[in-house]
Amino acid sequence: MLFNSYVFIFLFLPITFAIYFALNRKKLIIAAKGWLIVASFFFYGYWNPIYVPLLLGSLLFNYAIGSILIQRRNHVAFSRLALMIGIAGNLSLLAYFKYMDFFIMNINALSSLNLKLLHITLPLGISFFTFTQISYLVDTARGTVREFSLLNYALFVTFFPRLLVGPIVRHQEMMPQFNTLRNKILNDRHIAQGLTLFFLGLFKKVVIADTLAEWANTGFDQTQSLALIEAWMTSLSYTLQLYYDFSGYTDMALGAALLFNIKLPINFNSPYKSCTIQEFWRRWHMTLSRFVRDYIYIPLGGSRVPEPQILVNILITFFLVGLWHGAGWTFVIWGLLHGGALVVFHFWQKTPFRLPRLVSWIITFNFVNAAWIFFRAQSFSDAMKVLKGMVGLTGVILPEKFIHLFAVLKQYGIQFGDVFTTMGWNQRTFYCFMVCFLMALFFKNSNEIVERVRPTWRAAGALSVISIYAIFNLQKVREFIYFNF
Amino acid sequence: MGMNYKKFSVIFLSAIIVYLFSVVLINLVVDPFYIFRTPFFGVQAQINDRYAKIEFLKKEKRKFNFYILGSSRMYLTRPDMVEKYIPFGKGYNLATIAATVTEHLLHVNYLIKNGYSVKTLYIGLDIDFCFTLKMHKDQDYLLKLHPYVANTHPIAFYWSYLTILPKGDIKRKLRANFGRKTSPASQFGEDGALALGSEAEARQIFLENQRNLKNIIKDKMSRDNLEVLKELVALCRQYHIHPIIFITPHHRMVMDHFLEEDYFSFLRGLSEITSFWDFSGYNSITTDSKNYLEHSHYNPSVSRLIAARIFDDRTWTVPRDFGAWVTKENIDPHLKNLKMSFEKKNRLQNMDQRLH
Repeated sequence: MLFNSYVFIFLFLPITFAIYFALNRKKLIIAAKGWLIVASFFFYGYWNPIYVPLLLGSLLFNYAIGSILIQRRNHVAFSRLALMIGIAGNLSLLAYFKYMDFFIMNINALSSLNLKLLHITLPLGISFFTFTQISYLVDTARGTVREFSLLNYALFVTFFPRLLVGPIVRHQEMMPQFNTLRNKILNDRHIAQGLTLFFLGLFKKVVIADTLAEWANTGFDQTQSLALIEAWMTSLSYTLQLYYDFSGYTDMALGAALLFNIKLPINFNSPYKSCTIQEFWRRWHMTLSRFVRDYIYIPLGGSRVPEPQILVNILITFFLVGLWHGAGWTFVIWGLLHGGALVVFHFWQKTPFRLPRLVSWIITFNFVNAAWIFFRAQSFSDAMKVLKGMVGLTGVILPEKFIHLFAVLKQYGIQFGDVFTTMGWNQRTFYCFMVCFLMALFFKNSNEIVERVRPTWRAAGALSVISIYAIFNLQKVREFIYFNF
Repeated sequence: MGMNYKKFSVIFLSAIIVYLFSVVLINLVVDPFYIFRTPFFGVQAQINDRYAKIEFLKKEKRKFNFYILGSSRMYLTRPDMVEKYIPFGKGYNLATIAATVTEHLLHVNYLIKNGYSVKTLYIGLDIDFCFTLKMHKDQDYLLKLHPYVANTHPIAFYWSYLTILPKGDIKRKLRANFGRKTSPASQFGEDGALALGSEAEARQIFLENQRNLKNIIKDKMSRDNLEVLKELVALCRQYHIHPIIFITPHHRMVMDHFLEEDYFSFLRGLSEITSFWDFSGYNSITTDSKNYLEHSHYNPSVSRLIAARIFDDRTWTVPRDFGAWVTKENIDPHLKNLKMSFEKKNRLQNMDQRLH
């Protein structure tokens, strides 16, 4: 089920909410948890029930391994073996459903074999619920998780606001909240904040991200004919779309969870304001960054190993981050570009030079923007076409009104005319784009807004207008980008 | 002015609920796409023809045995123009605005699965739509498929029409009902064809809705559409349905916007799937604007000529260069002929440019 759908907003969420608190009010706490689990499975299976058994199987498998890890904590070798089996099981599931066709394609490319692709449909949220459960197993093996109630574990894995696209949470940061008695009664403040966050996220998704998606798609569909300015607008549209889409989803997830008095960790903290690549990864998809730091980078040795090993570890980590995002070489390239940038940053930090903040921001933002092209493009060659366009290799068209000022440029092959022929933009589209761009750079993010907002008529009015406008656009139901990962 | 959090949430949620009810009410009363058939505004400014035609057919399940499929270019092809050539043929015009090949397949699937008698299909293919469209966006409310055809839940279908606020379409319907000048809705006869008083009226309607031809019509979708066509032909074979497939005669202005390579490769691809009649290209019909209502839709007289050529009716004088039977065996000479007509056209165009 999509958050940005009538059925979720006007049926599923109110019904789940009402029954959950009604059961809690009657002190039927276990029933209330059970209800949330049932509702979450319904939420998961609404689109395609075929993968509900997969989620259930994965959940039971990990619960069994987790129970063994807790009960046999003193048998180090046995625990280690159980952990290995658990992680291998999770990764095998991911490998089969997400990467099998990618493996086959590469085998076919490298050999004379012509193996048939399996065309397996990617089960929704598999990357997220698999990572969540791996983190549970590792934390259990480390001794930070002690309880092993099946009901609680099922709720931890399936809690619908974060089931499909995260945030990737840890058992110990979520379950205590479900067990706190104070959280079982309605909290007016949380409801108001949750609604605000949810509808701000909805607005970001259906009004901003989906509009940007149309622009980005038009550009990426016609990579061969993008002149300089169009190539930039295409890449920037996607850069912004990705942010508004994913952070909009996260806002909705956080808002929906808050209605149930559950605070999920924030996932975005205005990432495009970052002035270094390291800062970017502290602000972008923060729970994924935390996961890869704690469960990949540090176990590889982190920063406590010799310098060459640190650099290799960074590259391995980001190779895996790229691969996690999608079964394709363009994702791997994107991951390695980020890994490479972090390596360069690692060396840069050791030099005495420091750049002014504005210059750092320009470098960081443009790097992130260019790297997203690989993330979005259908192929490496498509990505290169956009990049070539961005450096003017496929032609430069400047607005006609500048012809008198820069007529001399004509002799260098620069044309004057309609700048956005391929993308079909007009001046209004450009202004809308600029507003989206500036909002990402200069506005407070949703979490900051929710923290500051006070219950006033003005706030209620503004939120109503935003929400109604978002609901008005709900008919254009589009999936979230991260549903594909 | 402050308030408590509870009041804040109540006010906010009330605003949303009031808005939602208002939108539902407006859609029910105005009914801009004529889905709910509410009686408040009698004059229709536009009708979702996909929905209307299936609703009609539901009541006339046994009446027809051949169906005309195509886009609005086939609107004026009355079934009686064709059924006289088909023994015991009783036809229904299931052509819809900007119909895609996928929609043809879905419609045929629907007819077969629901026990309609389907003996013959008379399918007009438009190259421009085959190049650019596979399915329409879900938010094109005028073009939404009937829920039974699209296999969506009827509640979801009707709900979608209750919860949009198509301001332009609402205004258009209000104008149509309160006397301001606007084109009347397409009215379909019992045979599904567009029922219009005169050619002049038809011309006026189509001219008002004429699309601008600006850019080259690039081929993005033909490979996908050919795959769908393959499926459609296989389905016909499976259910012993006789498909008569032809390329509609595109006005030369539309032809000018195709890239020759794309066009030829599409025809070749189609010939590998099925034999077909080709009325496209630069010929004596497509280069004469008198045969068209505007640059996209041809006159009913052209529909008659098409049928006459396909069924070899000598009582009509069909220009010799109009319509060719294309098979995978004769595709090469056919493309050679077309190439020659393109070269001729280019020569004339160049001459024209030099003169001006």
